Amino acid sequence: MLHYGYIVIDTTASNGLLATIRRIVYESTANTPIMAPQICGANALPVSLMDVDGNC
Amino acid sequence: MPIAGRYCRVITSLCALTFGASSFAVPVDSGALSVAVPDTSAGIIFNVAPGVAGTNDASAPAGWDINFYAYTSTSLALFRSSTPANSRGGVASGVFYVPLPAGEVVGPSSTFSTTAGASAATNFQATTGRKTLGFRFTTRPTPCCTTATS
Repeated sequence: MLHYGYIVIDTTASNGLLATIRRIVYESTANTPIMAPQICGANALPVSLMDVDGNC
Repeated sequence: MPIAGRYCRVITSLCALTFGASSFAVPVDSGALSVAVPDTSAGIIFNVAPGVAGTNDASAPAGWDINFYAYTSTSLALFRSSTPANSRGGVASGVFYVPLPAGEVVGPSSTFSTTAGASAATNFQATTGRKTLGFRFTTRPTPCCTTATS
């Protein structure tokens, strides 16, 4: 069963290193699409207003 | 569960109620992470579900999905398990992984690649800052149908 998701990653230099994984999100329902974050590491624009973990 | 994760779930539900039924179900969200990619040829190797990782070949979780690593310690690189075929991969254009634009949908209509190495990850190197990588993976069915012995 295929699942879809996204990974939020920060990079700090032009070679991509050091890289830090900030969030991993996937759709638990197989074969169901998922939307990349609008602003923050969440699934819809309004969520950014409530994103209190500082990753915006 | 991180507090933000709880908020995300609540708000996503509210959005569905406010703006109509959504085709997007509630996602599994790791919450905020701070996992550095080791500057090694093994990097970090994830099995997304159930959410385990290893940092060398010996500790790579069985059924792993995604590997971020440092190609010859000079460039961020990606590698994805390619077996079984068409079961994993990152959103790409040709062999190059592509950072997702805001609001991009990752799903069956996306184009995926499993190309290994640093050149395929060029788009995740050139511009520093925050980027989003779309991916797919496969879950393995729970072992079943063992023969009852008593």
